[in-house]
Amino acid sequence: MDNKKYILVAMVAAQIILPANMIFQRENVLRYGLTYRFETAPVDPYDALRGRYVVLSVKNRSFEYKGGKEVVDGQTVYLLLEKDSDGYAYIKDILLQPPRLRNYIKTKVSYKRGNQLYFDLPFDRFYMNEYKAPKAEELYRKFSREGKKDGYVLVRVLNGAAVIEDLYLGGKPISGLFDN
Amino acid sequence: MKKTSAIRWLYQELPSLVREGVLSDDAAQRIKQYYGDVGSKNKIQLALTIFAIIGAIWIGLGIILLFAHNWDMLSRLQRTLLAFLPTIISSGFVCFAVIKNKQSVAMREGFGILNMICVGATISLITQIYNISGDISSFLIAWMLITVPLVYLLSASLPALFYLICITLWAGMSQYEAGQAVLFWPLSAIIMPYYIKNVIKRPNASQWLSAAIFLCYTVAIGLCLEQVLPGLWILVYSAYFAAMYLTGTWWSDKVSSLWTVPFRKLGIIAIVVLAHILSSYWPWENIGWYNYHKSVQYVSWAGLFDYVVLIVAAFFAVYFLIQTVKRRKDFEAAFGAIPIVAVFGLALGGGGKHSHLSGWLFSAYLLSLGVISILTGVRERRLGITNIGILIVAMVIFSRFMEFEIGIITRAVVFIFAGACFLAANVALSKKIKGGENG
Repeated sequence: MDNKKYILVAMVAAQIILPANMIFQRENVLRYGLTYRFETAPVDPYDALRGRYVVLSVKNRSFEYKGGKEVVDGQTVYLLLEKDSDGYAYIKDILLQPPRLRNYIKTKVSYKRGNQLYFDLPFDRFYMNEYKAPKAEELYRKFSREGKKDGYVLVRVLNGAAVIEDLYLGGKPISGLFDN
Repeated sequence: MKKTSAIRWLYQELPSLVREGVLSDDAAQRIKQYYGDVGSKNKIQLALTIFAIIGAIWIGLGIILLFAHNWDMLSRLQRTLLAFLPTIISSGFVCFAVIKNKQSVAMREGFGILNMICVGATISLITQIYNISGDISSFLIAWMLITVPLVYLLSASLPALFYLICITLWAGMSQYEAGQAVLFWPLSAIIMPYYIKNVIKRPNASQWLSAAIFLCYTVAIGLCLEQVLPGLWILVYSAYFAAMYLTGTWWSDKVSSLWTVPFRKLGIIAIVVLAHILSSYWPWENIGWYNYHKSVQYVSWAGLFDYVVLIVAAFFAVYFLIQTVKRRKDFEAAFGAIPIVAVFGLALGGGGKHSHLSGWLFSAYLLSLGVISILTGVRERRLGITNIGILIVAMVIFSRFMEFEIGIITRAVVFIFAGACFLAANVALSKKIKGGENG
């Protein structure tokens, strides 16, 4: 019975520690991470809403890789970020090893076309109340149309991790749009 | 504590004991009254277990719905604290059952699956609170690893079943995401000590787990094979199905237990299906060492595990095949010989110009399986086996038949004739069986 008690304690501890660690890591990024604005891109209306979250797509999620080493689909890479003249984030460089900087995102290559690499960024969804989600979808598509720069997702980046702080449409946080 | 399996064995022996004069009819009735109705108690226990599990699942889902209703009005801190509640409550139930050493199957199974679901719900809620995206495979594996101890703490089969299904799903997602699904094997080994202990202590209660192991391993083999050497899957699957089938038949001859049933029944179906697939030409094309995959998409070291799986499966298949032949079990040995036929098939024409010969070899093998089944069924007066044999023969004839350019009328006549033969064989055998029973 003693062995069982030790295993029980270890299991319960693991069941608490694992989610707590997820929270701690993300709270750390939200508190100390650098802020970047990623301009939203239009999505297929059918894909804009799945369940209770809005599917996000951002512009500038590809990069022309001119390095010598072969990069394959699904390979882990590190994206160095920079801000353009409008304050929106873009990918400045791709590294195959983690850099000694804070302003990078660890991600994987989604697919490539020639030298152009496309990435799965770790902020592709924004969870919403399911009753507000249809309206959110409509607003998202309205502010993300081509040629407009009215939508962006505010992301905190720290040592490879990226956490969404909020989704802004028309210059206002999305939660604020529903309060009105 | 009374042992249900022993009582059930005793009840099976009572008619012969009365017939031989060892016990009087009256004594046999008193024995039955003393031990009671085993079947109905088991059914009541099963019903209790099912209701407990359903109740546990509803409680878990209801708790989640309550939180979801007022979610938007809560701060991130409040949501985070609430997200932990399902895990804390269900862990409390588990601790109660373990510390108090509760023996109720319904309680152990119910609390076990409740805790598994609640931990998954907690992680899901945190994912939503922090808008964490993608990587479902990481979520799955973490969830399973922190809940698998429930299998041993509560001696519960339902968590073991759920675990096996989820890690099989994980293997599929991992392979799709260009990960390494080969970790499925050590992960599945975690519940094997529990399964073996369960087979020994509660052999008749292990059917579902046996079936899950067979099916999940079948899927996992396909997912985990790196396929650096094309065509290796033919040997791996034939050895695996033969090993499973022969293991089931060998153990069922030693002890009359239900845990072997899935291995026997699913095994024989799998062997017939595989043999049917291999009777085509396409599995034998572009295979062998000349087509070895060297692209960066194939991981050479993961390919080594293909050979490990093959060696283990082949070892058990050959061992139990030898035991089966020694016991002169022709029917079982014929089906268990599929890996040997696969080796001949690869040697005959795998990957080269004569790949069609390998297909014909398996057509001949399948035909022989059908004939052996028919003869065994007639000899042992088992209508089921005879019908299996007729179905196999019909399948082979139709498959080869469909390859030729023949008119619709001709096909219709052949189908009608084959169906009539099928029915006639059934009628004749049924009469023969009835005639034998009547002396």
